[in-house]
Amino acid sequence: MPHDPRQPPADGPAAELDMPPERRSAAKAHAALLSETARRVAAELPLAADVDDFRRILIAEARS
Amino acid sequence: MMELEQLSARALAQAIRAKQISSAAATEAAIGRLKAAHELTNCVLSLEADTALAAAKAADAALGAGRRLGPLAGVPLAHKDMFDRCGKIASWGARIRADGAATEDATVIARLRAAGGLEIAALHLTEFAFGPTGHNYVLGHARNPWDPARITGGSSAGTAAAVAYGAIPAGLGSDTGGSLRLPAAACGITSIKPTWGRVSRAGAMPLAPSLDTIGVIARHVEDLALILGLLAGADARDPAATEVPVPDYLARLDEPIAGLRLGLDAALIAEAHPIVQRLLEDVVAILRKQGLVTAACRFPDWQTLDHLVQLTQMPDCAAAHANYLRTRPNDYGPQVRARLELGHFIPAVDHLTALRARGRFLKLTLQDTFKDIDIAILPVFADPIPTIAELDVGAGPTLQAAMARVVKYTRPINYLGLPTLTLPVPRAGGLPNGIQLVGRPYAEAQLFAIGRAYQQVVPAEVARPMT
Repeated sequence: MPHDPRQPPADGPAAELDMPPERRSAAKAHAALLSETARRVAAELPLAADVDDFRRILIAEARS
Repeated sequence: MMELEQLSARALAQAIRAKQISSAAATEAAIGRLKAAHELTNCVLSLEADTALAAAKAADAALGAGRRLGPLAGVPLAHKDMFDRCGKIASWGARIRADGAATEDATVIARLRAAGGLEIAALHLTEFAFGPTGHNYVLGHARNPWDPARITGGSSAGTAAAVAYGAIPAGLGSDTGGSLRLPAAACGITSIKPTWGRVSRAGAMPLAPSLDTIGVIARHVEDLALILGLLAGADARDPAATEVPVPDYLARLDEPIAGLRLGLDAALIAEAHPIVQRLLEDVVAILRKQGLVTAACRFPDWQTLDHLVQLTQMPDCAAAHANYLRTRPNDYGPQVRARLELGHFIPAVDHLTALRARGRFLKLTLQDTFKDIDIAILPVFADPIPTIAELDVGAGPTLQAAMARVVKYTRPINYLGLPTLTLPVPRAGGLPNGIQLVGRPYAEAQLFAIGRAYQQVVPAEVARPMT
């Protein structure tokens, strides 16, 4: 959908993407919902948690 | 008279080796069936009849000359059109494609070719494999061979429709949020989504590399075992493809399953439509009769897993498409465009939190959910198979909710990386649907043994429109 020139340019995340305001609002709202979960999970995550833990556990399971 | 459409790939390969049928005759018949399947389901993106027949004749000549060939020698197959094949440009189900022809085969294509498998077509997929229903707003929607008004499931829609129709015995697909399981279930057939890292993704179109898993769709579990055995294993081209030894899945197909513990998360299953719950109970009853013992289990909070997999997937997808989304937004279909946009709104910190937490949730699942069970059973679809019209939501306001309901039981499993076997429910004259058996990492052989036993009670079917 082409950008409507009557709409003010977007700011915030993904400002460069050509999105109608209602889709932008929906995306923001959904991302905010997911962020709540991320914050809750982060609160229980040790500092040492690492993105490679997942692979390490998979491999360890194969060896067990 | 050999009923070719009902044969497994393994049985067809044996018949070709025994010269009960030539590869050329089997391939010609498969092409004919695939054309009929396409008319009904829109499953084909490009037919490759001439090259397939030439390859079939070459296979016949090699067999005639007494050459020792691979386990799929002369067997007509076809795959989701997202794998590099030397000299070709894969469609990716999209308007946007690679700039040039592939210079190397995807590892999975190379391994199937080395085993003698032929390719008779490139098959339909959801645009960029990013959609769970089989809708494709760029190339046309796929239709279910049991009822063309209904969805095939996606994104490996064409493979599932062609296999279910009996055009081909098996084909490749991929699964980032359910794309092997949903179409297998909707079309009443089987699929294996292996453990993440079990199969190389080299030369496969990336969607969300943290989650992407290449797997197989087939009517017969023995073909899943045969083909996964050919595909699995380390690959220098994909560092995520693990060096964990590959078992002889075929040799283990008939391992005893009595006494295996089947886990039921009653609260989670209760969130499915009552009809789906009843179908799952039917499957459980069959597995109990075969000696499986049921036990209660509890997955980690499912909504948390579902949010974490979205936090993983959406930025991954958005990053891969960031340039095209900025420069060629109108070349995307409305639904994929809207879903890709979402990834741009997720902060990097949240994405990394989901990735950092992934090991913890896998560990929790193995220690708690699988503490007293060997495998878990879950629905694939939460609801009876919807119509194409019901899920024709485009980029509208119900998009997120509609997609979330479709992938409710599949997407969180990708976050955990666990292997999953899809089996069709007993139809009893009704529409198809499926369940998924979820195993511990690298437990594919165990899943196949259960699936093999199950198919002795619920045999593979060939799909035709229900009247």
